[in-house]
Amino acid sequence: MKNVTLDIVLAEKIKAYIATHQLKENERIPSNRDLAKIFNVQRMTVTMALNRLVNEGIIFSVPRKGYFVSEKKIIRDLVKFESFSEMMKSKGLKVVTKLMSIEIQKGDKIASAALGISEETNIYKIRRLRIISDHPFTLETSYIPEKYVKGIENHDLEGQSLYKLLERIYGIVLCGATQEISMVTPVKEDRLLLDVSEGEELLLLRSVANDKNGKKIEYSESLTRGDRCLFRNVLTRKEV
Amino acid sequence: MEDHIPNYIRLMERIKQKIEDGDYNTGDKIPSEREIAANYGINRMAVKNAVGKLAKEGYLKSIQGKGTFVVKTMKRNLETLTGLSVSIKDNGLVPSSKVITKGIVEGFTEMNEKLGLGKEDKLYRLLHLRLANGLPIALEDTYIPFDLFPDIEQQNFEIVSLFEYMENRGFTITDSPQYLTIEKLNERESKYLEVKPNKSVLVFIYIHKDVNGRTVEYTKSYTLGENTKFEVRLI
Repeated sequence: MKNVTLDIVLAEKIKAYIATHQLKENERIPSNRDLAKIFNVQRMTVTMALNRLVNEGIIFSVPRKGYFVSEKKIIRDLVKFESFSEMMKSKGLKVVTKLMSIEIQKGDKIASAALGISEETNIYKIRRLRIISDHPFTLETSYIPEKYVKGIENHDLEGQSLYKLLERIYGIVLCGATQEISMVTPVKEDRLLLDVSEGEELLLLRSVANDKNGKKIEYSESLTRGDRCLFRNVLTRKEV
Repeated sequence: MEDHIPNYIRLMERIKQKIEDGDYNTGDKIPSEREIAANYGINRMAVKNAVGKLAKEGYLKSIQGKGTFVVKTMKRNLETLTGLSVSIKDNGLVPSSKVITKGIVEGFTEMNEKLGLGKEDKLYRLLHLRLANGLPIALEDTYIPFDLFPDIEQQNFEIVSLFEYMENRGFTITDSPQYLTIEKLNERESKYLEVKPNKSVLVFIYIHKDVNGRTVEYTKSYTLGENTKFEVRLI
């Protein structure tokens, strides 16, 4: 085909094949030889297309067994201001939250700067691991100045949304955020919690959430597995 | 206690400081390992170690046969649809573009479907490398409905921005679903971006629609993730 290489086209055809044949997650796709026959292309082209799909996270290979359909990435919408648990619930996904640690500290440069407070201010640092369909999805570290949420450690931080708790107990309604997404190499501890192999990079969503008066309440870092998550943002240009 | 800080860490901090202070900007070539070692009176292993770590953290980029260059983190606002050139300029850098492949594609029905086109419709494909101060930062693979832009073949997208061209043709881009995830680079793409194959990159996919709901562009952008932060404001 002119102006586009065959492996790119074939990769899309195989994706369509997986969809139309309703191959399920962890189901094996046809062998290299069969795919070459189905699409009437050389096996070399199939190998290249399969490599593309592995890199894209659509399929994974098991040595001597073949290629299998990967679990679909979960879409995390950035557009609405919503707590993680509510968002996943609305998608019909079951989230298990594990509280890893909660402590009061001060002197965290990044968190203090993000919240616009002095490094001498006491801040709650809450680390929670989010597990979806039995696999770790994101490791969330929330920083909230102690004065806003005194005694929060006495509440249930696993069974309910943090934002709901803020609203119900402390009367704080979060309604906006400034967010930033980048790619990072995790430290060993975080890597092990998220069950990813060494050298694997992760998505980092940093967010500063504010209440209706624009006061910065929470700074959070969500370390998210790129092989499981697709961030989505839908834009509409305001001035037309 | 200062004395116990290893040389490579001191050197890393010095280089980072120079980048933060603006002494070094994106695209600047740093001295060779030998020169740095001589300048600071430290051994080459320490220099190698520092440069390697800074490259991993995204502050430096070594390109084989060319040298080691400074890369500043670039912020890219997801809310502005004006395209990458404007973002690069907003970061105080000079954008440029290198077209790798361009032309009409026929029979790529799966892509036609993504753009909401019929099987017989022609696509215009533009694969171009985007650079900031001469360093590759993203590889963009773009597909456009050819029928909407019959004069697109005459454009030089190393000079004209695709976004401006579309606006000039009367297409006001309004809706744009955007997706961000991590993928691994294929060998071909890694060569263009001058990095190792299988390296993880931020993949940014967007579908531009105009005010009449027509899809005018599908782009998959392989972005060197150590150097780019995507920002979005939620209300």
